[in-house]
Amino acid sequence: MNLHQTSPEFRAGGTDLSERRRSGISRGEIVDLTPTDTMTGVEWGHDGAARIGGLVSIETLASDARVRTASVGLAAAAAGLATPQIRSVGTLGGNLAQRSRCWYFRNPHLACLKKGDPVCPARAGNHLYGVAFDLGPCVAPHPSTLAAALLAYDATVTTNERSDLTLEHCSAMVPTGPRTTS
Amino acid sequence: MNSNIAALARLIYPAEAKELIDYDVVSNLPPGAPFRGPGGPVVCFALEQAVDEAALKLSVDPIDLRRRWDRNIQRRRLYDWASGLAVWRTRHASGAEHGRYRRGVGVAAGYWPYFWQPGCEVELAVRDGRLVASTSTQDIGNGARTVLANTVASAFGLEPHEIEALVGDSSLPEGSGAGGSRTTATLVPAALAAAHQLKDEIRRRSNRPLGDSPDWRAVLAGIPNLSMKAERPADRAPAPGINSAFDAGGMMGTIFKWILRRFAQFAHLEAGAGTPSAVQIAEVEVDMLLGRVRVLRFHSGLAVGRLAAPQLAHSQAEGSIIQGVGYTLYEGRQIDQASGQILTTGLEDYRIPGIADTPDMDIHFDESGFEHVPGGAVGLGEVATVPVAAAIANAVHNATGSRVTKFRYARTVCWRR
Repeated sequence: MNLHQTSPEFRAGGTDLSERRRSGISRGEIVDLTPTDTMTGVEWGHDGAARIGGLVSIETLASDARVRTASVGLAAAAAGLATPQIRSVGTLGGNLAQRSRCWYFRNPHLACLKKGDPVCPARAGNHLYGVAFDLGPCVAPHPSTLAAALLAYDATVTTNERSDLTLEHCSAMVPTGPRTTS
Repeated sequence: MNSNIAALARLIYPAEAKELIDYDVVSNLPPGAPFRGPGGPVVCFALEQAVDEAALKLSVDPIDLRRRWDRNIQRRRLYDWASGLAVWRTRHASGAEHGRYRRGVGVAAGYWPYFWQPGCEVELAVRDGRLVASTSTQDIGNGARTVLANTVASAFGLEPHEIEALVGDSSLPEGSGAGGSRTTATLVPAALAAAHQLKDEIRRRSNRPLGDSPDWRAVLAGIPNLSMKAERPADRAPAPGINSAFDAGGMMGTIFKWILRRFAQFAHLEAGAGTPSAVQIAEVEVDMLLGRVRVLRFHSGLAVGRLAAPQLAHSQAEGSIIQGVGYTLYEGRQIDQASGQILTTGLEDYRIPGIADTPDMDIHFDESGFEHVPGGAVGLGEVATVPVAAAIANAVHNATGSRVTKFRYARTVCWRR
């Protein structure tokens, strides 16, 4: 076990977190998020842009009449995700900040840079669903379907600390703890 | 390890025409095989595509080609059903489709031996006016409880919900294993024999004649508790032309059948007469750009005797198609080559079909051919999935003009072109 598996984590819908608790990949303290109106609502600006709270459920994105009209691609991506149960508890924030789906990250017996290990066996190993463009130490693509749709709409992300982050900034920030370089 | 591929290929169609060889690949991995009908889907995938290819070369309808050599009575009736389907009669020539989305229709046939387990017993008891049927068989989805309840209920003219069926406890009378499609074929004759004995015993104890068809509900309500236990009886002599799949396999089939019976600790199986058979037609659509194969509709013709539980049989037949679609297009054990670690260890990573991958399904049961089995019912869980992969592969060829020679690699037929 290493620092990455014992560091605290935020819990939103908890759909993937519960899986990682069971497998032992996540063992740190859990911090539940206290919902605020901004986090759970969709606000529409005068320019027609939506400000979607991080705790808005994927089901809401899929079924909200205004989202379906204004950002049909986002609504379609949300509707196609996972299963109805997962969509009803899974959140936009959790979907964007979800951890890697790489088999080596998920298997407690295998090493992974994102678990703090010094090597990435996926690079030379089985990377059937690995990245097409090798741009960093990790060879697993970001797994968020919603991120792809939001990228297409040039969406930005606002956090408590900073505003107007592009999704590119966010995906670079997702691995917690010290960054590892090759 | 211990591949049964060549042996299974020997037992369908006349044995003499085939030169067969198989071998095990020994590696650092755990062994693997299709969960239903181990070896069967693999055999069909190779053999039935070879038959399809031969039909194309000879410019013969693939069903007509099978009719030329296949003497199996059950499959011949299924060929008649399949060749009468509109989708088969109106299919286009292989590779006639153009453009991004191409549709095709394919056929495949298959079988699974009819097994039952000697020595198994069913106990039938009257407890406080209710009938309780029990056997130690475990139910892993084969519907053992419903099969028992239906069989006993129809013997006594009662409703299935009036029968209590107990399984899954080793203190109960010895039941069959839940494998080899043997459960129904073992339980129904034993339950019928127990019902017969219980009726005789009730008549013997009764102080007045009960007549030919008494109201058993009233009779049972008025008698003290008692129970009878019956062993699965042997089958009657089959009708002419109904043989075991093993008998059709020449000398090797005879030896295989003897080994199964002799070494009871491995199998404890009796191979009976008659061959549970399947003839199936798949309709697919191939996306030539993304290499994606969708199974649109699936027609499954099954000769598995009388249905001991019709609703469950229907569900079992549909589940077999869905599992076959998964085996053909999605399932795959991924490993780390260096360590031998399995990477797809849960349903998170091991892709099986979801509801959107499930085709429209049309199930046809041919219920004759097993009249020599008491109750007339045999198992169907395995035979119903055996030809699915081959039918899909032949349909992909009909759609694209290309052969799929590996599971899950249908997309390569698109990339090659």
